[in-house]
Amino acid sequence: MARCVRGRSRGFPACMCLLLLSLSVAQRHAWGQDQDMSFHLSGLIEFQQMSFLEDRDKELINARNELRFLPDLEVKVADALRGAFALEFRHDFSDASRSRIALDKAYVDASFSSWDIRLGRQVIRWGRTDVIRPTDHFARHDYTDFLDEDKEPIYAGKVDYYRGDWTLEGVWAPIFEPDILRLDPSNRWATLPGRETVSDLGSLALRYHVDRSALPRDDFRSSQAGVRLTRQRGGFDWSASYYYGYDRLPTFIRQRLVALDLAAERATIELTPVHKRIQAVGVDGATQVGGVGIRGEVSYTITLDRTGRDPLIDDPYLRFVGGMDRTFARIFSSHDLYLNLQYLLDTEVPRRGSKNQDDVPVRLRHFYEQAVLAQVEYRVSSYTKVTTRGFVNLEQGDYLLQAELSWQPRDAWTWTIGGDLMGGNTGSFFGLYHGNDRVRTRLTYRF
Amino acid sequence: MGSQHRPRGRWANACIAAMLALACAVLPGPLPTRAQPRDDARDIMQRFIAQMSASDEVVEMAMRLIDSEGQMRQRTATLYTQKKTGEDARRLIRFHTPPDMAKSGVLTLEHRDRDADQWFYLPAYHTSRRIASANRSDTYMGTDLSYEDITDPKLEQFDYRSLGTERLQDTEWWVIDAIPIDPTLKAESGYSRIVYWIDPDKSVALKIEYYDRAGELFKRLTNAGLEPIGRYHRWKTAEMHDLRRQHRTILEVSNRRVDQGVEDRYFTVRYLERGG
Repeated sequence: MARCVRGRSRGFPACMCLLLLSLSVAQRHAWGQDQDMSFHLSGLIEFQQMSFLEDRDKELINARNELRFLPDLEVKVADALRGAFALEFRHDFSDASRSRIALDKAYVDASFSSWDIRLGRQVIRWGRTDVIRPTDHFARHDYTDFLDEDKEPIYAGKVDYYRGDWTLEGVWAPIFEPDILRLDPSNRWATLPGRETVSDLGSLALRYHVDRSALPRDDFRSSQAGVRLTRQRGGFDWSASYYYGYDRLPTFIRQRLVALDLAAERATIELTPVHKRIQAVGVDGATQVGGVGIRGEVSYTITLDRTGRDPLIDDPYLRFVGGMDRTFARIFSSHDLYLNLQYLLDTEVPRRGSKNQDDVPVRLRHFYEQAVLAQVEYRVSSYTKVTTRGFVNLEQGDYLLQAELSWQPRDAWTWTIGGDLMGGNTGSFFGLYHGNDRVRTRLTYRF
Repeated sequence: MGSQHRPRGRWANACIAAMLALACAVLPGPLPTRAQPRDDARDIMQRFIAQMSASDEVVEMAMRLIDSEGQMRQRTATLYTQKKTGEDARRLIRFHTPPDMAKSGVLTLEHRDRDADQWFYLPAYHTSRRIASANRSDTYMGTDLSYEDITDPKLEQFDYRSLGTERLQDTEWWVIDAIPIDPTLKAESGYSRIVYWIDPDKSVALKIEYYDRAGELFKRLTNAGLEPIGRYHRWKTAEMHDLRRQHRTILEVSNRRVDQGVEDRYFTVRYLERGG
């Protein structure tokens, strides 16, 4: 919650001014005949339950019992001018740190004959592959649960200019907003020990204090920008993009012992996340051949350690994802089968010895070098499907296996039940999280 | 004068015969007789397809999907269609309800020389996704219609035969049997034959029956509520009944605009991603 709200004091009024300015300008020039103002309220109510199966004796949070309410209001001033506002109310009965009230979206959207503009809090997605998108630089993640796939919004202005088959997109995010991390030993993805044995001192309970002084500034000096050129022609969609911004995950986290209470056998460690500038160029594309969807992305990230001498900063690296998918219709009665297979690569270019995967303290960024990801979806009907997804790290052999049954008993209601299994060698990424196996269920009502 | 009344010679008879033959070949003749059932059927189908093919159309509709146990799901959607370049059709279907489908849509651009381009948009993904064009026989958006049901049939891909007439609802309907003859269509279609009940005057089909590849009756489309719209006729209600699954899709049109000049911008990924 604290991370979400940080920095709003200066950024929020500036963004609201931009919204109001754009609203007044766009109202005069937006194209379209429909001038009737309308309001539309929609949203969802959701309850999610998760139970972790292992390591229940440690100081870890063992469950999620989360209620979520997300009302979403759309205001249509004219056919080409609209605004959207959504507020998320999230309460977790088992993990208070996940409870929050957060602005999910608040933007003004104007459309002109050859360009569109969207200003405000929004989710911006780049790329065309599934699950992992190397060029998706403006997407912000909530890593309080690494397996959650919802994207967090950011404050940004986005302009699209259209000319024939071409689209030129420009994005400016005025204030840096990092990924959400919970640096606390009770979080199952933080992997911070709650107790450490120190020679001569014995076993010490560890407390952590997060120092945010090294975060990028809360003003326009931390802004990020990107451009993306897209073409859709002849059965092939592709984009070329450039991003100038920050690592959304900390580039590294400084650790410092700040207090030691021998009587209480307790030590306090200060964690200082540091985010460094990066630049990235990328290309993504999608097409289909004979009923098979083919999509791929490649991104080259230039870090501040171009010479590979700073062990705390990543060497420049290249990420590639390529894959194909196909739906086999009516394989049995009216049942469909959907298959999706992807190859993932994350490597330094040029390579200078040790890998980013070995060096980087923040392992969430480089958790594989080569991997495959497969998804099999068996659709019994439009309302019932079984999905299994597997990720295997080809270098270290660690894996993630997810299975889920999704059922819509009535329109607007969705019930899912599933589980996540992970494991691998000691020291491998999912091997580290072998204790995070869990079963989960979710009931969603949309209105 | 006397010469004018004399019997015509061989040359004159030959010329008249030649002119009549030419006239028959060039000028549109009367409706074919029952002596030429194959040509009758093809001609009626040609007019039926032409009657269905407006240059653009916007249809607001409600769908009811009813399973074998009588459980019903409802959707509302707007379907935009444009046929600008001959047979290449462009379609955008945008769903309004149920809430989990609201603002989602599918944009399809058909091409004569290659597979259709198709994009799917779901607001939760925040972006559209190019999807592999569906097989002809795949179901369309969870309804009982397949992709080939919503595509206009191509005249040359079928062999048409008249099966006679049948009187229904005070109208004499021509029953026409259509059998795929195009090798690609034969390989890809889910049907071995389609039987139409067509009014030759208005060129509309009251009923269409679809037979599966094994020759068994598979689906039946029944239309109701014919109304004139400009120079076309359109049905207000259509019911597709899947006889194998005992599942029905009922489409009710609440508003329809034909040949009103739907702008090109509706058939773009840009518009798809605007969500309506």
